[in-house]
Amino acid sequence: MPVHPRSSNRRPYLLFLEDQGMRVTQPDGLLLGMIQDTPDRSAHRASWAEELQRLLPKGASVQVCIGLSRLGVQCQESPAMPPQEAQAVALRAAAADPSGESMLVGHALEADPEAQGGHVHWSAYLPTTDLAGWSAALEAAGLEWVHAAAWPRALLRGLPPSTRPARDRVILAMAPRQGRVLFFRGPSLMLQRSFQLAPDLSEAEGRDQAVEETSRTLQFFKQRYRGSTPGELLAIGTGVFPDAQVARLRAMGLAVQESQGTLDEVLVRGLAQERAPQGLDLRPGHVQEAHRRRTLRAVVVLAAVALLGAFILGGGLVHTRERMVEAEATRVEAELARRQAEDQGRLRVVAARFPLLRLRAAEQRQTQATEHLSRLAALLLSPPRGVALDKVDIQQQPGPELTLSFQVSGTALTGSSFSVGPLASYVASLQHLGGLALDPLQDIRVSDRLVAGESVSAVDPSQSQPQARAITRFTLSGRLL
Amino acid sequence: MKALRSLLILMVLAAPVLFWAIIWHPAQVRMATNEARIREARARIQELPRYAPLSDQETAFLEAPSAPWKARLPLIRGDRDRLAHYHQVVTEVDQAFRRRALKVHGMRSSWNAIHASFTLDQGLGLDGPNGLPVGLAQEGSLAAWVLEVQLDGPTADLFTALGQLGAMPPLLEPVGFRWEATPERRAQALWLRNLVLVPPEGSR
Repeated sequence: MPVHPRSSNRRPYLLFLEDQGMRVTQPDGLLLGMIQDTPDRSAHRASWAEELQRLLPKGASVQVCIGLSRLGVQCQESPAMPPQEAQAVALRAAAADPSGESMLVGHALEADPEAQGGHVHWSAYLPTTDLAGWSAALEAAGLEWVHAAAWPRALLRGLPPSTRPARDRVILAMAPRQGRVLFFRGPSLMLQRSFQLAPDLSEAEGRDQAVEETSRTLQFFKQRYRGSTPGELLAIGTGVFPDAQVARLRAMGLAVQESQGTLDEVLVRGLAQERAPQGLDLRPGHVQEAHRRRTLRAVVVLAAVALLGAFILGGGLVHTRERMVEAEATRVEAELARRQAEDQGRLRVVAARFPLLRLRAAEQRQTQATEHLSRLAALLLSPPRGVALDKVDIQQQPGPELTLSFQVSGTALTGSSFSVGPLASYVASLQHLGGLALDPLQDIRVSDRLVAGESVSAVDPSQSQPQARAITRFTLSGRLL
Repeated sequence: MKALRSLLILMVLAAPVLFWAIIWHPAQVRMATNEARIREARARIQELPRYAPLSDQETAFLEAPSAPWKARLPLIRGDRDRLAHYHQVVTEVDQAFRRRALKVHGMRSSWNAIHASFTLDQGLGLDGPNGLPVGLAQEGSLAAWVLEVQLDGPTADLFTALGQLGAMPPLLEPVGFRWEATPERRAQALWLRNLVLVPPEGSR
């Protein structure tokens, strides 16, 4: 049982389809085997599937790089356009092919700021019959055909980055038995030509032939595109040119750059980029449709799994949050029950403290009442000169507020001239006490009375005589808050 | 392809609705119920007052049967207690005033409750009958009687007598002050209110 090398990182195996046959490589370009093509294809097609099964694991994904000589490529400057329109342009280009055969068509749009419209439209087409046998073999081998790239596109996308590439440049790509000369203007392929190398040629002889082919193609290019002069030649897979050949190429106006990597390395890089959705794809329609269906089915399955996962995750989060809230509700209610139980204890505590609190309140009220009563009584019992009190009566009023009512009666004497001056002074002194409110004076009686006065003459007491005085009887009442 | 696309769209559209209907909405309803429980319980907790529990020392002080402070508000269960208490108050007032050289002319009293009511702070939790906390009815409610003490001597003796009230064991609050000096009559007296505890109405 063959041991198949594993595809790393799910990158596809690479199948380089050329006129001689198909080279099967690992995703990194390492050669696994070669399937020869023959003019009598029908006799060998059955064996292609077996060869592929032998070289590749079942179900492996593969990417085909089509380098057949009948592959047609057209590039034209264009504005940006939707995929349907780009497809229509490619179909028109394929329909213009003089062979009149049914074509597989692919297209891509490259941004090119210097192009008219800002883009270059790539159309690639290939007679359906050229790929039918290989397509059937891939299907029979149970391989997943993920992409079919056009060889010039893979070369263009895999070129090493250059800081200031020339607008018009020549790429000389050398394989062991074949060479290609491609003329690019920006990302647009202007012209390509391939040539075969004899098996017995040495490397130096191969380079000689390549330079010769480059020279001829350049002359053709200059005739076809008058005024266009490529200024740069990038050689891939040629090895180091001798000085004489470099001089010859310079004489053609080409500055020579020799790529360090092999042609396969460039193609592997380019194929990886071409697998992107915007790449040019030459797979037959039914293969693309089947692939899209598989992809969509996988998307549906993934979406179902993702939605189920989101359901479970979201449900879990919601459930967790709900449990937290429920636990908090239980905790708070337990706290409430505990506090209520404590509150029953509060009544017991209040009941236990109540007698002492009641006594302290009574003592406080006793102190306040004593202080209030003493202050009021002292004030009432301190009349000014000329006022004689008969009666002072103070009573505490019912109610929670400490309010004292009082009633004072007495006599106010005046001088010889009629006046209530001492009584007014007494009333004024009472009003100085804060919180004291006097009722209106109601019981005031004024009368003249002869009062036994002092002796007019100290020498003769018999000469003493009564002195007239005004007497005011009064009754005051009020309250102290 | 079309069926797969339709299925995908249906899944994407239906999933949120199903999630809302099966999981989210019922959970929200249950959570709203629980949050209402939390709010109600917290509100009721806020309504409960906080208080300091009784310490052992305080309990012993409050519950001592012969604590001196309890004698200041004695429980009067009948005429016998009343007479004994009256005798004690009169004796202690007389002795206290005589110690200060105050001349007590006479005393008289009435057990009728006066309207000058003694009140306590409402914040003490008086929510039972007679303004007493629940569970305290058997301990008795406040009642008051008034003792009139007639004094001879100068007017200043009245203030001396007032100054002695706080030092006497019976709780005597001055509620009246009478001074009279007419050519026909001279009299001065203090009205002192004494607080006692009496059994509740039903248990008398």
